Amino acid sequence: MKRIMLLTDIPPCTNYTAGLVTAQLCRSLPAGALSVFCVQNRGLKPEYCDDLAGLPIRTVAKTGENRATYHRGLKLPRVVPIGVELFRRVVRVPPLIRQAEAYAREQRAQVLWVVLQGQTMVGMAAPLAKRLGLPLLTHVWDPLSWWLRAHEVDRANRTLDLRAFDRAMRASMGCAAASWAMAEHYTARYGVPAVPIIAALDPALARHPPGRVYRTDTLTIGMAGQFYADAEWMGLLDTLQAMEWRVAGREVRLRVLGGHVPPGDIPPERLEVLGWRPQAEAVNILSEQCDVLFCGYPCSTDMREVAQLSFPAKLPTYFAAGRPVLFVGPADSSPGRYLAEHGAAARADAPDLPLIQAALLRLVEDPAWYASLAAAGQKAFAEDFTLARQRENFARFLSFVGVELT
Amino acid sequence: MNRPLRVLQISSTDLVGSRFNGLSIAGQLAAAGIESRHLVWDKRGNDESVSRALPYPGLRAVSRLVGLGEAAMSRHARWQAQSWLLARQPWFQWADVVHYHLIHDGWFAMGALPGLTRRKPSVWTWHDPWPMTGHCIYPIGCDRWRGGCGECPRLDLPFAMLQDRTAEQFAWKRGLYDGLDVDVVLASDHMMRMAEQSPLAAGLRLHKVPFGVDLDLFSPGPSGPARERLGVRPDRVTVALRLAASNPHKGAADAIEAFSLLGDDVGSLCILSTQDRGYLRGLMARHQVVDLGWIQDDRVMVDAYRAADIFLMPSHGEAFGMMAVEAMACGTPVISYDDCSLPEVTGAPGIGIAVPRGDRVALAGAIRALAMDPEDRARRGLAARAMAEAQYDQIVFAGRLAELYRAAAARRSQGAVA
Repeated sequence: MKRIMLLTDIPPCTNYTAGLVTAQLCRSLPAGALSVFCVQNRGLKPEYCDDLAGLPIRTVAKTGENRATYHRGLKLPRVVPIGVELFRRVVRVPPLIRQAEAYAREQRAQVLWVVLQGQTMVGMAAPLAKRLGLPLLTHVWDPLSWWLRAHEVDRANRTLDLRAFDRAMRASMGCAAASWAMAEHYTARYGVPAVPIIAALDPALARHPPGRVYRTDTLTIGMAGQFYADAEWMGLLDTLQAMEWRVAGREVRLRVLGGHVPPGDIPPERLEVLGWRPQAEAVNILSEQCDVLFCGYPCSTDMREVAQLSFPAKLPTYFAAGRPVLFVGPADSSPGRYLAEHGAAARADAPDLPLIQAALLRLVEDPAWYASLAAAGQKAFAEDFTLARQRENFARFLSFVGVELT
Repeated sequence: MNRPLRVLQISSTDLVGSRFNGLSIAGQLAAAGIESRHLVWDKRGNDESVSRALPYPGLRAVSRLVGLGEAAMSRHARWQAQSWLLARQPWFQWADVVHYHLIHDGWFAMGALPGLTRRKPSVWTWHDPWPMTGHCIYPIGCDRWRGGCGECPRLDLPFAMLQDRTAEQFAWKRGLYDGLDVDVVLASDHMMRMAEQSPLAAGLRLHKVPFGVDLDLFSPGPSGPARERLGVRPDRVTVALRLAASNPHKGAADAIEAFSLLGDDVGSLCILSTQDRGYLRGLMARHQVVDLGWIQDDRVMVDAYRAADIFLMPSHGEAFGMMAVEAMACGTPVISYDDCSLPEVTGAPGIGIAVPRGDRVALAGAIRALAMDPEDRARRGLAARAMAEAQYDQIVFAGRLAELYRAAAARRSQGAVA
C-alpha cells in the first residue's frame, strides 16, 4: 500500500471532534501506511488514542491565527494585525513547509493528505505537494470563509487565504468533505471528486429506546457538544421561558453534555450539566434520560456558507441514541436539508418562538409523529453514520489517488 | 363608443390594498367593459397595467422632506407639489375616467384635486373618514368632525399634529370640496351615515358600493390540511386576527388583553396572527401562538381563515373591513367592536358578534362564548358565507363600479355638449 502522510492541525485523539473522526479514519489504514505531521495550536491538549500508539506523529507548534487586536491591554492600530498576518504568512509558514517536507521524505510518503482547517494549513497544502511532487488529497471540516471571519482576519489577507484555498482544491486529486452538500459544492466549483466523511459511531453503540416520551409529567431536552448556534439555543430558552417551562402540561428539564456551560439564563432547577462524557456513555445518557435532542444551526446571514456546507457532528450521536431531534436552523442548511429528506427531526426554520413552540407541542401531543421521528433517525444512523459507511467513504476518498483500502 | 371605457386608478401603492384599489378586480372590470390601468406612487409588483406615478429622479426624496415639513407645521397632504403634474402623465391623458383611492397618505396634495377632476370625470373612494375630519383618520368617539373640528382632543391620532390646526385643515378641505365634480364611493352604511352628517360631504355625489372578494378563492374548505400547513395543532379552538400593533385603530392591545382575560375553562387555544410578529409572547404559556407575519400570498390567507374557528377584528375604527369579509367568505364568524362599519358588514348580532368598543372584558366574553360553542360557530359560519355570497361578490362589486364609471363619463360628456 502507498505510504500516506497526513498533515493536520489536530492529531487523532479522543477529546476533540475532529481528532475523533481522524482517529477513526487512521484505524482503517494498515500499520506502516500512515504518518502524521501535526501543526498544532499551542493551546490544544490532545489525549492520544492507545490503540494508535504506534502511529508515527511529528508535532510542531502553530503560530496563533487569531487577529492581533491588543498588545498588553492596548488596542493596536488597524494596520498592525494586517502586518502581523502578513508576517506570519511570509516568515512563519515557509519553515513549516520545509519541516513537513523533510518529515514526508523521512517517512517516504507517496501521498499527501492535508486537512484544510485554518489559514496556516491552507497556506501549506499546495506548496508542500508541489515541493514533494506528491498527489494531494484535501480534507475540509468547515468552509475557510467561516474560519477567517471567526478569527477576524483582515480583508486583504482573507483574499490571499481564499485564493490559497482555491489553489489547494484545484491541485487536489480528491476531497473529503464535511457533508453531502459540501461534496457537491466543491465538485461543482473545483471539478475535484469529493466524498462526505462525517463523524460516525460503532453500530454496537446504537440504541433503540421506546418511541415515546418517557414520563407523562416531564419533557427532558438533551443537548450534547458545542454551543455554536447561540441565537438558536437562546430561541429555545426564550420559548421555554415564554411557555413557563411547560409543554402541554409537562415540566421541561434540560440535560446538557459537553465541556461548556450552556449560555443563557436558565433556572437551576431546570438544568443538569453532566460535563464531557465518553461517546458510549453520552449515547446512553441521551437515549435513556432524554426525550428530545436539541440541535441548533446558525440562521444568520453571515453564517450562511458554513450552514449550507458543514454538518453538525452531534447529529450522528443523536441518531445513535434513537430519540427524536429538535432542529432549529435554516431549512436550506446542510443538516436542514438532510433532516427534511429523511423526516428525521422536528424542525423550526428560525429561532422564532412560535415555530419552536409548535415543534415542541407536536412532539408531545402527536405520539405517532414522535415515534416516526425516532425511527427515521435510527434508520438514518444505520444508513449513513456507521463506521462501516464511513470506511466505505474513506476508501472512495483514497481511491481518488489510486490507494486501495483493504 | 365601441372601445372599452378607460379608467385610471390612482393610489399610493399597488399590492397593499389591491383588494380595494381595483387591481384585483381588473379581470372583472374588463368583463364589464372597463379597461383599467393603475398609476401608483410606490410600485411593488410587476403587473404591466401598473405604472409608477411621477417617476422623476429624486422626487421621492424631495417628497419625504416635504412630508417632514408638513408634519412639523401640523399640515397634511398640502404641499406635495408634484401632484399637479399628474395631469401630464400619458396614462392620465389616456383615461376616460380617473378613480382616486389612497391619495391622502402623504404623497399627494389634495389641492391638486379640483384641477384634476376638472380635466377628467372622477370617482373618489373614501377608504376611511379622513376626508371628513380636520386631521384624524378615524374620529374615534369624537363628534367634532360634524361641526368643523378645532380644539381636537386627540392630536396624537394619525395623522398626528403638533399644534391644533384641525379647524384650519377642516376649513381648507371645505374650500377644496366646494364645487368639486366627483362621485364619492363609500363601502358601508356606516360611512354613508358619516358622510350624510358631514358638512364637508354636502353637495358631493355619494354612492354606497360595498367592496367584494373572490368568492371562489375565499371559500370554506377543510381546516385540517390548512392547520397542518400553518403548524396549528389540530385539537385547539383557533382564533385568527390581524395584529397591527403600530396602528392604534386596529385594537391589537385589546385583543391581547382579551386573551389574557380568558378563564381556564376555555382551555388552550391557538392564536393565529398575521402582520406584526412577536407581540403574543405573553400568551404562549397558555395558548399556542402562530405568528404568520406579513402575508402577500392569498393562498396562505385562505389557509389562515380556514384554519380559524373565529376571526377577531377588534378595530376601534373601520370604514369597511375587508379581512372580516374574507373570513366570512371562508365560513369563519367574526367578533368585532361596535360603532364602526364592522357590525353592519359582518351581520352582527345574528351572524357576527359585536361588543361595545374598548370593552375588553366583553371581547373576552365573546371569544369565550364562541370558543365553547361549536354549534353556534358552525351556524354563524354558514350564515357568514351566505352573507358574503349575497353582498360581497367581487363580480358584483366590479359591475357596480363599471356602472358608476359609465355614469360619470356620460355626465361629463353631456355637460360638454350642453
